[in-house]
Amino acid sequence: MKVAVISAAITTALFAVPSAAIIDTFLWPIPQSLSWGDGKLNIDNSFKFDAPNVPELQDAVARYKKLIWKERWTSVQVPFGNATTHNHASHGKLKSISISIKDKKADLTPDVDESYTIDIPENASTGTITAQTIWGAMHGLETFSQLVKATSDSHDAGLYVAKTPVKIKDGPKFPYRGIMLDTARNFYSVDDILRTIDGMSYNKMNVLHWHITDSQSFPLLLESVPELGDKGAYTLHGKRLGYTKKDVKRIIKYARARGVRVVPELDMPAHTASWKGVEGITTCTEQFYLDPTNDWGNRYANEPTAGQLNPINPKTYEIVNKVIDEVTSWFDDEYYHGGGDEPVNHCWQDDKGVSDYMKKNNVTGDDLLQTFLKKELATIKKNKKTAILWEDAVTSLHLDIPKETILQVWTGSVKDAVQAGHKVIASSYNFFYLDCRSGNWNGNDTTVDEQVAPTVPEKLQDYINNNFPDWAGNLIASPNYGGVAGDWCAPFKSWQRVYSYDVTYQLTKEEAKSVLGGEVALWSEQSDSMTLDMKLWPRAAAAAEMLWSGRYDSTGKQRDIGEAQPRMFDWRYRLVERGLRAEPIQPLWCGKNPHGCDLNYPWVFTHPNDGGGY
Amino acid sequence: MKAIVASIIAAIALVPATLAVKVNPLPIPQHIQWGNSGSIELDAHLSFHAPKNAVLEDAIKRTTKLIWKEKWVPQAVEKAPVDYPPFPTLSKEKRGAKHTLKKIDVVVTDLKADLQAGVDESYTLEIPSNSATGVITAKTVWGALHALSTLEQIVISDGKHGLLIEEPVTIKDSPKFQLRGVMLDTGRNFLKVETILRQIDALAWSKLNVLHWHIDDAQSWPIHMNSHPDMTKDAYSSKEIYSHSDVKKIINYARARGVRVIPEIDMPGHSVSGWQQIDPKIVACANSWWSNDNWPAHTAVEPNPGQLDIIYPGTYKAIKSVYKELTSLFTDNYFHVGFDELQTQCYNFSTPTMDWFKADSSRTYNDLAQHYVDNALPIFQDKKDRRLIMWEDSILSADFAAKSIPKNVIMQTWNNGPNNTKILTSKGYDVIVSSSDFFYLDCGFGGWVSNDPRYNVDYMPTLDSSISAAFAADPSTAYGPTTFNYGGGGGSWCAPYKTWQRIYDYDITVGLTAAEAKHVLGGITPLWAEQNDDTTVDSKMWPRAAALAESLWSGNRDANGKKRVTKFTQRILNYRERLVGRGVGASPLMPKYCWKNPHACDLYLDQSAVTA
Repeated sequence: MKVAVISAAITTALFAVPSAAIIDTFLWPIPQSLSWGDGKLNIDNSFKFDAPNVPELQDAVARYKKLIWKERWTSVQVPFGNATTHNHASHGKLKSISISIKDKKADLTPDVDESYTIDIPENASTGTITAQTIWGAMHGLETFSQLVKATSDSHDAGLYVAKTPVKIKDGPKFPYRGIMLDTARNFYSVDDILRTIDGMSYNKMNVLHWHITDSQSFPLLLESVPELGDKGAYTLHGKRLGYTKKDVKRIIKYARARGVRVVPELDMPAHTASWKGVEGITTCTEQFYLDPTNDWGNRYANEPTAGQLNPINPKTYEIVNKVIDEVTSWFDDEYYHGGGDEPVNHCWQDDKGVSDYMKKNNVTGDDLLQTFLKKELATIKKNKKTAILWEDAVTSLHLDIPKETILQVWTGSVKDAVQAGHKVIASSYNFFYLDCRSGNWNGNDTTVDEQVAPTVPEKLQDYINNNFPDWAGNLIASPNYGGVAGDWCAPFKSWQRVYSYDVTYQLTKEEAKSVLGGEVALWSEQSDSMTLDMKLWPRAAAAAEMLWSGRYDSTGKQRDIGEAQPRMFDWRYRLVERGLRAEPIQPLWCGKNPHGCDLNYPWVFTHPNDGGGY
Repeated sequence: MKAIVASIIAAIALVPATLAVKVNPLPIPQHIQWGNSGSIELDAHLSFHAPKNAVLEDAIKRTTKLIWKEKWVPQAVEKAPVDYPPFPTLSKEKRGAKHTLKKIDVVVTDLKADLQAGVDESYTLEIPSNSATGVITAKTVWGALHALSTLEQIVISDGKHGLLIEEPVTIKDSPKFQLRGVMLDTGRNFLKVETILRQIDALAWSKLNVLHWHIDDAQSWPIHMNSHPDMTKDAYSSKEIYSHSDVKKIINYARARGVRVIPEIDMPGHSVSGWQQIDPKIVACANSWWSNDNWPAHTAVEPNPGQLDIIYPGTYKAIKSVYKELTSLFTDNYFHVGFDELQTQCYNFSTPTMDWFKADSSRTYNDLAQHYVDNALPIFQDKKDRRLIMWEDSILSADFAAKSIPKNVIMQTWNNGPNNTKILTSKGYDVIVSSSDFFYLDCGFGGWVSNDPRYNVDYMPTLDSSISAAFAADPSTAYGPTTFNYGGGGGSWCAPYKTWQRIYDYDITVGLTAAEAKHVLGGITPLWAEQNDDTTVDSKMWPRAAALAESLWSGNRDANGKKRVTKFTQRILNYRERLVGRGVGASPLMPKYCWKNPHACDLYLDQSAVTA
């Protein structure tokens, strides 16, 4: 019986694909509330959007009009079963979408209303998008573009909206839905960043956290302290790899046009070896990141390259203030990220002036960090920005940091940061670090030179076999055999793992209110233009749905990875079509044979009449 | 720290000549001796005088075009990791050669040697200090092509519009292993012809000489068949099919670059797409659930199931016609017939097989595998100089191996590291090494099967105290406790990701006797394509395949027998930049800072840390 069901399903998929369009539509991220009919409404060739005359909205309308006619999407993912193929063609044609906005002036602020509704009738010639703000309307336009399908793969195929009437009421679960891009370990061109912003807007992500500088390079060509970029930016084939003010303005404008805010970070006081272009404001930059003992306790930095800002030199603060003043004047967002992660005392103690100061004044490295961050936060505040810091100073060092500072959690728990009284952005490396992938990037790595898997001691193996038979396979690893091979945050976070992150896990309702949202991070030790798209996409999209639609649906049910699968599969191909070189998540076979590549026996195979169950 | 500096000085003192120049060709030649009389400019009309040979003329045109287009400025340059006297830089005064390099004579002894297994690939390249003429000598055209690819890497920009070679140089070079390749899988996801051609470019630049083309798999059949046009009904789409002219284009393009194309049709496992269109009865368990979740009933190790029916006679008729057509298309004497991962349970769905077992209760799955070998091998062994390759499972599978396979079949090993290489070579088989512990480029990207609940874990599971106790009781073990999402494989069966250092450090003949080692033909680094297609192939393949390339061409040890991966670092970093410049989307291995500051990003400051 089971076999019969399966073969029926597979036969449908392999042989019975109708030559006309497959009538199903895959949306990403899934709207909060969605109802389908069983009609099929063709889109008239003269189709247009009627939108209020707000420049940003007109720009978006023109963009999406172009996109739907260029994309002419036909689904790659085959729907499960044939329950959805009975749509009847509607009589009318969709000639326009009328867009209405309640508050046309609302700016793109951290708390702006992004909700929208879509109403596509079954037969009538006009549909509507309503939104509180133009930013919500942009999300509505994106969703509408995903509803539009082409009748065939032909280049001049007509367009239609499936399963009309379609009613959608949607809004984000979290106001902060971000991607962090590190442009310091390796450089990305402005075009790379613009393309990433495209991808974010397709996924309703709204914050690009730009980790601009780090120890390895300082690619921001500031005008107030030009020597930082002059000496700290990379050069390649004789070309300086840096961002001018014009580049930055272009990026911000492009992002704003797509409902994406750009939050800059200049990490300090650690991660600043690249600031050594200014004489005297850095410490330990001449050190290898370890000392000759290779003892982790004696390290100068958590990775090459070592270097921190000198916290006792007045000139440091003079430069820091100039830099923050200028950066905050370039970036118009309300938020500013002050960095603050991974300070290493040893780097400061390496400087005689600093260590003498510490002895003389009987202060610790943590005290110096406290002093530095206080001054830095004051400068950020003076420039009328809300500061974000990496959590380290609060959750691991317990320093006195003003509660108004937003904490970005990456290694500790969201709960600790919330309970310390801060608003939180969740970026747990266990879920959201897109650079993890087991495997060390340092050179001269002796640990990989292991020709044969180490033997598991017999007694240990027996013990495990006898006591944990079900676990045995997942219980044991050595670095080169099933283990991390030197990568601190291995394993690779597959899209299913990213999708599983519950950013308010075990918080009370009240505590959950302090969670602004989350952000996936792409640290760039092993990434540049060549790999950017495949490392971000489609995994960042998995985070996007978690943050927009939520880990739980409106009925309180945890979202099902199996339900998300066909939508994600189709979405990856659509991202590729839209110009992002997203990584394939499976053989194409899997999309053409719904659920055929599931890990566990698909529930729908034994419940075929539930039409996929979703 | 002083001690380390001292040891580095000692090391440099031993090989002063190789460090006197910035260029660092990959793979590093077996013997390279730089002079010190100063740089030699290339004449703007540098010409090659070569015997008349279409392949050679074509290659010389390519090289000439490439060096003038590339005008390479060395990016990652080798130098000692700590304070050390600055590099001898190029200066006009030092230019000893009064003349420019006007001409390179190319001398080839045997112009007719075909590009087949074992062809001589050695060459010499000499740029003398006292003559305007350089000399390339090679036994065969294919060796001469390698000389040209070395030349391409030692020519650099003179800082203006011209080119130069930094010092006079004498190179004498040849491969350590005769078979050096990569495997592309176009069955799981399709690769465009242009994507494959781009891989061939990079293979040739890296002196790799084999493209192992895993054409089909259970998921799709992407190659057009005149004899069975219906087979490509199981291509992913009408656009995702290789026509015969596509295949010829790939073979010709590869041949022009000294790369052999060895096709693989995986049989009898991993077979359903395409085959089922010939006759559904030749495929067993095609429509079964793969059943990882009920392991005793599993029919495949990954979706989708399907194996050729071994007992049903129609199977061999189909194999014969498919094989005949493909062997007339592909020109290499080697043909890979698959034979990996046969699952016994699949044949529970085959009535002929079940009847065959019933007819004689003494029959085992080993007998069944032997039945396949006895019937299929005569078809495969179609001519005297045909050599077949099989995955090692054919003879080593624990429950489904054939009892006897002729020793002239080449075994490709992928399991159990050097242990299986030893077993196979000691049985007398020639072996291609593709160990999944070292050479699988697809590992470490998480799992790809869907609807996987194992990721849905919010906090790191607490370790049962008795487990910790068990590990603590045996501190000698290299193993530690791990969990799926925290330091474990994250769903990738062959995690971790194989870094370029891991690949480079593998000694493919480790633990073998001299006699056994002779049976190791070389290595192939596979890129299985469940999570790979046109968007990712460059970055997953490169520059990691270049680490294999050097290890198989000139080895992974220095003249003193020590592993030289640390010295390889700047070479591969520079080479990655070259690949990107030449149009291959290779992954970055480190922040740029690292190659601008040689060895600053080493894990160990001690430059002789990797020694084994």
